Amino acid sequence: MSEYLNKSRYNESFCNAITEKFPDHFYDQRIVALFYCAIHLLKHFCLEQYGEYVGDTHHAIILNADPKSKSKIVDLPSGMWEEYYALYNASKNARYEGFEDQAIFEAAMKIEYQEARKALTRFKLYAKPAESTEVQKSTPRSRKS
Amino acid sequence: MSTIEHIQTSPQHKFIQSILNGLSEMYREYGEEVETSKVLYEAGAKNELVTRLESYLNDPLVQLNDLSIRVKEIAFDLINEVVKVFCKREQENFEAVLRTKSNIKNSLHYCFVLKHDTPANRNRVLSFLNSYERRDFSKEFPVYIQFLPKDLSEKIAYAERLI
Repeated sequence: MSEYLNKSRYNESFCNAITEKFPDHFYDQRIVALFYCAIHLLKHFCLEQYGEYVGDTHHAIILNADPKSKSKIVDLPSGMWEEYYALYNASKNARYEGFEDQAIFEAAMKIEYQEARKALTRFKLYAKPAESTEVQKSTPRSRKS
Repeated sequence: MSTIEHIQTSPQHKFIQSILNGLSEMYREYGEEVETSKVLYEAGAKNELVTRLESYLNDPLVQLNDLSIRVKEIAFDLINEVVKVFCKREQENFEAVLRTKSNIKNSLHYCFVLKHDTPANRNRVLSFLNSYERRDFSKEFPVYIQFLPKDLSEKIAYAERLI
């Protein structure tokens, strides 16, 4: 199993463990773990399908993998990117420290966690190596870091 | 060199100019009619920018650090204007859009209340944010979009109601 698949499963297991132990807490941390599950799946998928590493930072991944990016180095299905971006956005919000009312933040995170779960399920339909039939392998191209 | 020329060749102005260009490009890319960006760029934002920068540069009390802070404030104002244009265009999908109060000053945070909270409707908003985040300057001017149900949005402290 690839390094990225291992990391992806680690993050999902972590999320599941927190969910089991603390079903009504730590929604923000669970969202971040689900996003990291997705990001490692994305990296694995891009390496396997296109022979490309899509970057170390979130911004680099947007430039390299977003189907609408002028500098993209992979040709992801737009639906796959939309699910990834929804998870990225949820994770960004989970790490946002500007909410003045913690109770509202936690209530929002509970809803976002449920949405993130659904988004990850949909994302996996694209990202699972055995099920990824929509894209063709391409030759490696230059990368953006 | 006149004050206007000084402003137009200053790094601050070039910085703002690059943001304006990026925001205009974003709208073209996003499929918005050219008129929107033209109105924002030519009729409003550019003139206001020059006027405001001129007043700052002419103000003897404004220090260089202060100018940099003011330039950032202008950049955030411009980005907020673009968000408003987007919200008006898509307003039939929104119950409410709020720019929230925040204890963080170096970002913009919005709460969107969708009339129908579906993945497709969320994606319409996120594709706008995604388009913004393809611009390099988005790293320096983070924009957050949080979806909220109506009942929660009614409890939130906000700085501005866009819809």
